[in-house]
Amino acid sequence: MKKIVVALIASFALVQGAVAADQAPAPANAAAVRELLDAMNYRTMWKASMDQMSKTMPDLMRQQVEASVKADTSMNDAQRREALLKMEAELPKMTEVLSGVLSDPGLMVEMEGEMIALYSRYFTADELKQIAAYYRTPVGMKSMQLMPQVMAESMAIGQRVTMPRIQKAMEQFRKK
Amino acid sequence: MKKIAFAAAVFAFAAVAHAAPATEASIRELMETTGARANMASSLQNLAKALPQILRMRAETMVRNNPKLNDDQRKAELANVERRMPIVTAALQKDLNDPKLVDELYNQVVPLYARHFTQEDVKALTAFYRSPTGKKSLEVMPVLMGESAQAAQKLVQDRAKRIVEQTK
Repeated sequence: MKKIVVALIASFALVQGAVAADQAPAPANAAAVRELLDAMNYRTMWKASMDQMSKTMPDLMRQQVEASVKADTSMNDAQRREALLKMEAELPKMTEVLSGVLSDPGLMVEMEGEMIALYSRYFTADELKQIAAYYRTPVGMKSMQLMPQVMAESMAIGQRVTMPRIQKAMEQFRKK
Repeated sequence: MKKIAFAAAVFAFAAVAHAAPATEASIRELMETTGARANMASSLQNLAKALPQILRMRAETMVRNNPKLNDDQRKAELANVERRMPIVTAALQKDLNDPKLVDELYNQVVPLYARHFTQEDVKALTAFYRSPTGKKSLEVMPVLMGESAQAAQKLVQDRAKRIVEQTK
């Protein structure tokens, strides 16, 4: 089971891009990024997305373990059943462990360090200040709040518009 | 009193006028400023590239898991899937890279913005995205978001690994 979990965790990182060792950003930049993160309500957003991840975690783990058990040709059906039962039994504990990782304030602080390095690489302190100022305007705040909803609605439009065309292509696939 | 009532009425009217819904022209201007058309076209292109692979995987899994087929039949069916792939790929490319599809999307996103943003909002958004910093953030943000997601994944993964190894 532990092996599976380690493999599972490894699979979270779909792209293990080389995260370059960042040079420490200038103090002016670090302060400006903090100011921007604050304007973006970064901590609230981070907590919300970690909560969301904790909720979807058990299903995700179950799906992945089920898929890997099914694909394992070295097991017979009885062994597969047993492996799945074992997974179900251990799932609550594993979920608890991962939820603990996700909700750890230390993780959020570490992530802030990453964000400071990242933003400093792309923006000057001046630009960071301007973006933070924009997010503090009424329209900046409003657009930030509405963004998830607008994105979801745009996605729904995209699906609605493309679906008929995709279905048509799939029918051709079946016929020929 | 009448005067006050009048002033209040004017004020109320002004407040309503203030929150006038954004006009279609101003929303289109905003969308041109943010490069919405190019973004839509490139998402559709990505979809056209990803879909054939998903279809192939599904078709192959179906053939593999079909207990009614013997090995020869399975081989023949897989060859069949392979033979049909170029057809479906071409069909999807043609349908999803159609400029008319982008127009269609565009036309539906305009009312979406009108529902959420006032005329004043749209003007302010356009002004920000036209400024040098706004322009730059449009270019940089998608890259930055991708990189920050990667960094978050790596942090979570490292911590989880450490804990799992400790409990061994």
